[in-house]
Amino acid sequence: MLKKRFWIGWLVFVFLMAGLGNSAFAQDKVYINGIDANYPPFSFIDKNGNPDGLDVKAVDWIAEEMGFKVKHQPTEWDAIIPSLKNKKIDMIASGMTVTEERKKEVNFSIPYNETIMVLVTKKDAALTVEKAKTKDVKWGVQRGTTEAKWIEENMLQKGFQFKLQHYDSAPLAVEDVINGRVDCAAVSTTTANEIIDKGIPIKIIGKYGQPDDVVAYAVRKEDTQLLNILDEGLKRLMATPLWKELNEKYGVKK
Amino acid sequence: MIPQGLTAIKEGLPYLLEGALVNIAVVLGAMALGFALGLPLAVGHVYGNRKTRGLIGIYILFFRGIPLLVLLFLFYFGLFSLSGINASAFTVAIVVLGLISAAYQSQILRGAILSLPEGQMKAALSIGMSKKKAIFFVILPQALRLSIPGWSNEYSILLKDSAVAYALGVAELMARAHHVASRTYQHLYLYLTAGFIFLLLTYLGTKGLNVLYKKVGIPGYLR
Amino acid sequence: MTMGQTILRVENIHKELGGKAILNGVSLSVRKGEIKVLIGPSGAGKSTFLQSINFLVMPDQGRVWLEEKPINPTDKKALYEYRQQVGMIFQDFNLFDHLTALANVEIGLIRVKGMKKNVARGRAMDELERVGLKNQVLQYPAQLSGGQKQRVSIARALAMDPKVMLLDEPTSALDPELIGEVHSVIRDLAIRGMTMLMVTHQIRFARSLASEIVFMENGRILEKGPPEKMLSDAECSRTREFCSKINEMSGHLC
Repeated sequence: MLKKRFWIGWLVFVFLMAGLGNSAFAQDKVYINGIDANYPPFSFIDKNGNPDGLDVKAVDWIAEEMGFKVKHQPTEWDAIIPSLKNKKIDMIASGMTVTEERKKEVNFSIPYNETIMVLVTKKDAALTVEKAKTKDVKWGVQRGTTEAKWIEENMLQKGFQFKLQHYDSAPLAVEDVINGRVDCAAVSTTTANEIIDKGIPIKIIGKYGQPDDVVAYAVRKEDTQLLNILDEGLKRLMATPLWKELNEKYGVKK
Repeated sequence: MIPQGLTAIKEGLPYLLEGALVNIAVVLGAMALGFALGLPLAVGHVYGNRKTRGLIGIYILFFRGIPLLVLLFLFYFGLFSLSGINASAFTVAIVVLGLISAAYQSQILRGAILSLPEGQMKAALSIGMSKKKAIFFVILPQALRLSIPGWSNEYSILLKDSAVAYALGVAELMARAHHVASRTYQHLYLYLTAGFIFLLLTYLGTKGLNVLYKKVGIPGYLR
Repeated sequence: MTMGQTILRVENIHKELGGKAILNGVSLSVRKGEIKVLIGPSGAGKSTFLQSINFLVMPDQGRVWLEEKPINPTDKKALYEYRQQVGMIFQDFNLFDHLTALANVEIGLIRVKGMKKNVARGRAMDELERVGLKNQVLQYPAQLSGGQKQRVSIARALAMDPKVMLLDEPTSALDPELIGEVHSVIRDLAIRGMTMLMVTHQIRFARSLASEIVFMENGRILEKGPPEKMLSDAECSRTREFCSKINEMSGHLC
């Protein structure tokens, strides 16, 4: 009798504990936008701890316009596509570059920006793009990105002998340029300008050869309804003067 | 650089402290789940039959042997594709850390049980107690007290492990330090702050358990 | 002294531990009010024998009767019932270290006999008073002297209303000056007619109390008889040889 009561109580306790984290029951359908919270100016966390950035504000406007609810969920960039496919998030509006590889996994909206990849160095460095491609120069890049993959496949595997170091975010790669642990970092012009605007002593030394790409929102393959909503919303947004204002506010140059 | 660093810390602190609450919730949840599972595991490991002991041994090997990050991804992504259970990253962090902690806590408790003199069980049986009553009323009350220093250790390990939950996108302290640093470019200062908060939490937690240890101590028995 | 019915009967107990025969067919019976004392060199199997009687050590072979009822140790309920009626006193007391003296005595009454807490408390107080520990009831084992601990353990056993007591060297872990208080409690028990089977090296105490002395060696009973005969008769040569060795070591007289 004693043991029965005890073990039943115990089981209840265990299940309560396990259920604790699940207490946030699904109410209204809210689309979850997975963002790289370390990718200013497209997506980042503001002073008050709220998601901010061009993509965040754009999606908020689209949601309002098209009549759905959205929540921005910081997600590790490394795992962002698996998170989308596993329904942890419903869309990615976070400066994602459209690539052939990614097209196999997800569907992209119409493009709304371009990615132009450049190398940045310390402001007073003498390094040129040509020299940067020589033996033993150290490059930094964000892990799991288009640029990381492109540099790997089109430069390192083709015989270039510089060293490539991977970071969790583009800002961390630039931080190590300033620390002097890497000589240069491969970032988009948008990121570079944002950093320079903040007074961090770096400069752009030029493009290293990666073709320009477009940037778009990503959704699950089967989610055509959401894709249509986003396409329509983007079209409407880009037709308003607000779009230019947003781009200027966040220092995203077209 | 220093003034900007301090400004970044000042600005980011409320956001970081909220993150620390997430770590605390993960740790407390994992400790509780680990205890709830670890207790029967420990009892089974000491008093169970061969088969029970073998199964518990496999459980412990599994959860002690596989890296935390692998388990987190396994449960976060793998469980969903296998069973359709779409648990939040926060829940997965608690469950995975709890399952791992159960393995460790069971060994803490098992060690405590085995350290008790054999005569305690014999004396309990000799007055007509069943083995289960003896475990419940004589062995566990002593073993649990002896386990507190081990838990204090387990707490500090769990606290640090909870930072790994950032890999799933849980907005805990470590992830938030990164967020603020990405905006302000004050990486050093923000990671220093995060480290200091972790240190403080470790200190407070072990201190608290120490107080508990003294409070439930038996005069002349526990050192 | 008039002896009543047989309380405890054990027959042909065998026990092997680690490939070594510890008990080689030991048989013995104790009648109501009788006090039998087991003596013999260490390693003779005395302790194992006592623990076999209440199945703390499971004998390989052999049978046990309490008041002529056979005990089946595989019937758990019957076994727990039986153990309540056979009080056991250990060499190193084995008090429950996390409980006060009072709680040590109460726990069996509450958890085994299912008594109400206040009833159990009254009974436990009575037992502790009887062994002279009225003023120590709220102390923990670590705060008690060895002699006091052993008296608590006797109170704990008595509270269960045993029909027979097994005492396994009750004073051998005590400093010499503490032996007396435990002996006097045991003597009290004897006067009140408690049936006992005791292992001890205190030959003088044994002689003053025992109805029969049983000499064990190598897992067998070699000689037995009333104390006067065992300790003086030429017939009992092994017993006397053993006693003279004890005399040399302790200075106690046989």
